[in-house]
Amino acid sequence: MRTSGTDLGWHAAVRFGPDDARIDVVSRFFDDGLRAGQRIAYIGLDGVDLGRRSLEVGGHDPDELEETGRFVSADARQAYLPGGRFDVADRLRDYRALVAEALHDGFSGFRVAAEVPEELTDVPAPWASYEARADALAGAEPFSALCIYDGRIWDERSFGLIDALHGDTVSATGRNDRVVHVRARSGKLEIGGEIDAGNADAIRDPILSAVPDLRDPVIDLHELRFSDAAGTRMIADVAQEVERSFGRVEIRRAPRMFARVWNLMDLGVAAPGIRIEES
Amino acid sequence: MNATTFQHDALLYRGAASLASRLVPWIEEGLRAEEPVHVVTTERNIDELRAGLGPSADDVEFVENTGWYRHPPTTIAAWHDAIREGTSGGARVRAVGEVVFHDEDQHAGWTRYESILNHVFAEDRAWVICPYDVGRLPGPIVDAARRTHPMVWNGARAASDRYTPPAGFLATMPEPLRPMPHGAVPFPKGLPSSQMREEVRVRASAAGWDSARTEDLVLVFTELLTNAERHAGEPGTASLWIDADRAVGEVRDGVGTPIDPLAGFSPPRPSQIGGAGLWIARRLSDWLGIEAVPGEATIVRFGISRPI
Repeated sequence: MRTSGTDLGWHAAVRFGPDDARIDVVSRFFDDGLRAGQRIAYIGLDGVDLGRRSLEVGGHDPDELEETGRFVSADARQAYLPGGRFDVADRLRDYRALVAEALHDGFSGFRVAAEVPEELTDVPAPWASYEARADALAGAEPFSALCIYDGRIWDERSFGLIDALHGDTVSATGRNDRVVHVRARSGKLEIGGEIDAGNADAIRDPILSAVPDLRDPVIDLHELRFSDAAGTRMIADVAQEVERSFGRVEIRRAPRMFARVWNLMDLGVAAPGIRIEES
Repeated sequence: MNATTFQHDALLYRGAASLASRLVPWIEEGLRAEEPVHVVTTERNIDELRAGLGPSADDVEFVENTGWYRHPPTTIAAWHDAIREGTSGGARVRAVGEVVFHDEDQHAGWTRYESILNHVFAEDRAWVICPYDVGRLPGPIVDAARRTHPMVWNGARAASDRYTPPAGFLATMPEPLRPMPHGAVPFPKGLPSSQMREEVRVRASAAGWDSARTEDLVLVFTELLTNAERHAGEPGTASLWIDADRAVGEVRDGVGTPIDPLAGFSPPRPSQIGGAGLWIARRLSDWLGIEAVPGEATIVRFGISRPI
């Protein structure tokens, strides 16, 4: 299990099951934030006891931290589903405001651990879009987030997408067996792992929704291990969206195989303005 | 003469001088109409055509045919590029393509290629003439040219009454499914795609393959398994035979969905969603055969050699 050394810009998912390993993970996540002079927050589903207990495990006094404004907490349903409705833009605006408030109050950043309500399984597309854009937000603001998912509620297919859209994942076993991952936190898009017909469609729309939040019109593929025709087409679609938003786009550090499939599919004709730099 | 649609002629000739006497006026007519002209033929024929054209030869793109006709899907891609570039300005393209039929075991493959051109380029503004040297080529190859070309020049240019559209022609000359070498090792059914790829890499590495050609093998398996699952609605099965020099792979579904014999021969259009997998598999494989047993299985078998 790894959470120590988490800097601002860290955006990770942790799943838990009956053996609830959240406290240890959240405790380390909070320790890092407090040491760095950040405001920490816990957004919980059934009260916020777990956040407080996580602080106690780390040897902190939650009451004292709360009184000095170093620790804040909120109810997850009120935070994510005000009026029973989930709105991507509103939620990101809220987080931007919380970051600004933390900086105004003299903290070096804002760090949140948040349990994800099961109601969001009913709106998978907006939720996936939110997670992709939150990753970009973590790159643009002094912000980091640990998203806590109940492995008994979210299915494996959802976790495939959840894992892909967080720059890091944390599991009780410490293994990171993600097939594909996308990071926007560096201000550019980093797409890595293996993309094929089985996952390309699922990650296309969330990535496209995060394009306006990027800082640079760059798609970095140096961690891409495999991309078939469907995956390469998906990356071409994303590249064209970046080009539409920024007026230009660069695909950097592309593996040889990606360039080979790109050429076999004649995608240079479909997207003549896209420059590919091979690794 | 119709300048808006694809025209595909066979020109039967004896000797370079005879060929030049027919083609020089045809090429000059194209140059006068400002149509790009590509000529892919033998070195001897190129010399004869250059001599006949004089200074106009500089306006023609000449390519020696032994390098052009090595692998049918790659040749289709090369013609596709040439025709797209040539027609980008709105003009029709004129092309001469003298096929190299290689050894006897490749005759049928190149004859199928000639038929497939009628399908692949049906919408393109190109006029392609394929010279057949009747003094050198075996009779069955020349005979098949009358079935794969709508027009035949044998003296005069005339419609071939034996022309058979490609779907019908390929039904009479399907690509045979080559045998699977003894000792092929199956992959566990339902293996997640990333684990399947890793298994291919492990086997290729054990056989001494380099990473570049291994990734071709991995890609072909992935595309064919994707197709199998898409057609059958459930994961297909796969097996691989590999040694230091070549690999033979097989993917089969449990349904036996008939496959269009022309599938995967046309380069994907820029806006095309899906359908590129079989094209890629054909491009990267030395050979690829498909056989459907309705209600039982569709079997796709392919061979890839390790480059020397």
